[in-house]
Amino acid sequence: MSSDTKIDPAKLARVLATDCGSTTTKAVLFELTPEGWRQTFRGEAPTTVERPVADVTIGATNAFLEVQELSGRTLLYADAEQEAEGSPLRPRDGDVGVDLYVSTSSAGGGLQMIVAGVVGDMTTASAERAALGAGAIVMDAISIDDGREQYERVQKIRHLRPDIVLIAGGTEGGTLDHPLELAETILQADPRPRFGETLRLPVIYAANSAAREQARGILEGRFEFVAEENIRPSLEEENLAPARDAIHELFLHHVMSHAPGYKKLLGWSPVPIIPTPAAVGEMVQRAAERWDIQILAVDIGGATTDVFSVFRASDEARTAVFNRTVSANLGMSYSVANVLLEAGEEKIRRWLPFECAVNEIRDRLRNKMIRPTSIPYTQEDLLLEQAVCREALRLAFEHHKRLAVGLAGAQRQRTIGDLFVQAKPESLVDMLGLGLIIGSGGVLSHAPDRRSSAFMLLDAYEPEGVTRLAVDSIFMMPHLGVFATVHPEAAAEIFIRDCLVDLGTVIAPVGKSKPNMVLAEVRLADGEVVLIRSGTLTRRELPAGQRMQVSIRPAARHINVGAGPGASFETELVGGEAGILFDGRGRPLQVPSSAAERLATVRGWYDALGLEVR
Amino acid sequence: MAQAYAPALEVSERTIVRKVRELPLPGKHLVQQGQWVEATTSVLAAELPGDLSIIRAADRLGFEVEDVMRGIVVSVGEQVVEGQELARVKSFFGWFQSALPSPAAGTIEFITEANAHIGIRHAPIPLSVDAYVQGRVIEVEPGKAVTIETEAGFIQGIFGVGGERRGHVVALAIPPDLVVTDQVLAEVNQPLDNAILVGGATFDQSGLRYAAEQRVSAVICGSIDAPGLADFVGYEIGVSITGDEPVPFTLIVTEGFGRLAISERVRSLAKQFHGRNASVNGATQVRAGATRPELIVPLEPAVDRQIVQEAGQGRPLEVGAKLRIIRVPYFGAFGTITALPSEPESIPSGARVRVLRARLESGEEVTVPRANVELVP
Repeated sequence: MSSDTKIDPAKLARVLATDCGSTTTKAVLFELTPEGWRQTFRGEAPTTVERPVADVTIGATNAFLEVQELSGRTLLYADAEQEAEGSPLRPRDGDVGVDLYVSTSSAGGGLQMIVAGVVGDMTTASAERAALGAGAIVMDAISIDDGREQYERVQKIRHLRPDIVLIAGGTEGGTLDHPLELAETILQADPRPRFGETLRLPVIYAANSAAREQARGILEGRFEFVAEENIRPSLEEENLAPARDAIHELFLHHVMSHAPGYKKLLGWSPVPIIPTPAAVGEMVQRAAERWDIQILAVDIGGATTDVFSVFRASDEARTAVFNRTVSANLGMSYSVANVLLEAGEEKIRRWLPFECAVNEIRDRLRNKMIRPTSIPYTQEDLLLEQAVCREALRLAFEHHKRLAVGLAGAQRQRTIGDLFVQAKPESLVDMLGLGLIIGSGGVLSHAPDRRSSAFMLLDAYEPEGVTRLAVDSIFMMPHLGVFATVHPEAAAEIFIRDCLVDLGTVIAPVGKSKPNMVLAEVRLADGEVVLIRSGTLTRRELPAGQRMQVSIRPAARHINVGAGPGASFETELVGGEAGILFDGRGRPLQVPSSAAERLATVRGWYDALGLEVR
Repeated sequence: MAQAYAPALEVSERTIVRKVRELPLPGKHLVQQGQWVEATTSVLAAELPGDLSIIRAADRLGFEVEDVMRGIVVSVGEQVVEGQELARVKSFFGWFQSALPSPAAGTIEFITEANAHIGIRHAPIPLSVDAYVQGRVIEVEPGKAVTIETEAGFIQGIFGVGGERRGHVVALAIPPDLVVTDQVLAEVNQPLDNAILVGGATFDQSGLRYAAEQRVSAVICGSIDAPGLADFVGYEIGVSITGDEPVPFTLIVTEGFGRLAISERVRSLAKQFHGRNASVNGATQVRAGATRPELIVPLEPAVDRQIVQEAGQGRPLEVGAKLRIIRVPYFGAFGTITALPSEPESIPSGARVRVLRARLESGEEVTVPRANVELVP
């Protein structure tokens, strides 16, 4: 993704950026200071895309005003006679105004799509990856082999209000019938677009090109038909980029321009507005490339949980593959009761260091659902929310693993033989090779004690080997992602200095073990030697900003701490508020089932983290 | 932010309520600005596209696609009636003929050469939108929406299931913390058909079943517990977007989940509105532009307009304002704000947040996060 507009990064010194989210519009100011690029001020205001104030620019201006007040600078047009009142004042003149305004958007629930393909694991999965990678929420994924009757598909889609439909299916030279059947299904269901009563819903046809004109004949009367290159030209080739570009183009010029106030907002920024998750994905990919590591990032919101990853494929070139998934009904407020339903009460209760009746959990979480802005007052209430967070993260990651499989991301190939050898596509998720986990969202970024953020990430993701943990300080990754399309160096600088808050590093040996067995020996640069024993979780301080060289030696030939079974290695650990965590609890993590044992075990983990349970 | 507003559910004796009635697609408006409408008056109408039948002609006739395509006798855009011939195919040098009758009346929307599928669009389905509340039409967006305004008693709940319904208000003469059973309802000395029952902490299974048997329109009570809601709806609700549940009547809770007494204010207003016709909707959407369930009781216009407040006006947090706490450990308690410290303070969870101090009805002085209160009139 790159900006179409020519902007000279060297001439930028002050940039105003917003993320127009579902609930809140967050504005930040990026400035070139004597210390380099920094994020200096931040403001927020409720997003305004629904009645009675259905104009996104009102919320954006309110957020700008807060930044303006806090910074004490003039950043906006103030002439009440002018239509431009409240918009970013450009060009900058000395200390007045800004050089650039950029924005991302997920207001109104973000970009929502229906995708269709012939085979669930193949063309439908490709269509899903294209939509998700472009920052969409997939409302439904139709496959000829999805086990539903035609009328069931039609009934389901008929009531959806998507922004865009994407049809894949049929390799070049392959089936004509199926992509046409998919076109017929869309026509039969006749879903209506979310915005604009007169807008014709865009349908991207990225299936077998031989059926393109006939699909056009079926759909063109009722839909905005957009033909693109086949997303899966052959079984061994995936071609996501053209469909993704078409999605972005339609999002910008077709969908957003019909959303309330967006025409005006688009006029304020010379840089294309992109969906919030697409901007976060951009930032994650740039960070993975810059530091040459594998990254897992999560944004857990009130309604949804987004997971982003960059893992290397198993091909010779070890190609970096980006994936993004969104679990549309896993969140900490609006969707909190759904986490309860998907995980079950027992799975949530297992993380609590105190007794709590199942019905009490059900009622408390539903009360959170209906009063989403309320916050935990007691420690018990806080720990219950953090228990829910662990389960939401775990479930969203399970979802991510199912989609983060071979062939994803940029165009690449594998041999046809592989397809027949593997019953299922090979997972890209490599926990032992994972270098960094970044958490964001209120429950992680604003936890009263950052050690508990590290604890949540540790329990939910069960990292293996050596993994650095961090949180996004104020959910700035969307702003940085869109800014990076203009000035990647500045965005990277702010990312490291102001966005990422290091929590520490976890060392987790994996391999079969007996109780209390020494799994690995960690020799620290200051002379301390830590033995990681099975079933234990221990910690030592390493403050934020500090790094420490360590030497790690597995205690048995089958134990792997990241360099391979039995292999010793040296590495550098990054400090943070949680310091270094030595996790010998094993994978998969087991929590005792008996109540008394569970309470004692979980309390022990809290003690290890230095988190007092009152 | 110059002024902090706390969320609050509206509970008003008399207020101005405006309801925007919208069509999901372009259509026509049936009323004019200034017109008086009843709740049942149709105010908007449109035609939804009819269903689409897809006829797999080659499969149906048992011939190759190319043969069927040559035998199709209708064209795109043509109107057909049920039984009308769509295709005729000859075989064996014309000795045998097969005809394909149309299974439905409609318009030919497409004929696909690659698979000989024929799409027939059925006649449009008429759709009409009623006024939902009695009142006056104050705005018309031609072909799209109308706004109805009414002076009404207005009670918002915190959560509901089931959609728009109408009925007459029946205030249950019971204590606010009572669990309503079938026996309690059997003692109500009036027909419950079409009633909007208001009262009690919660309805147990027997009470809900009895209400359904009596064909009530709605139940408004303090709370419901999670298992009770799942039993009533037939499944567990995971996301707070409701209104389309297949339930026998609309259910609205004013306080939340668990067992919580209905508020005194709702109870006393219900008594005042007893016997009046009202509109009710359980639809809840707890997101930006939140939708809360509601009871609207249209009233004769007040002589003195000064006493009428508009619904939906936020109120500022200020010393002396009455509040209700919406989170444990003081969940459901009422009190009065005694101080609004400007600096964030630490709370037992360990977080530093903006707080307020309040004196509860019990006399206890408490400090709670500002986010955990809602103002009450």
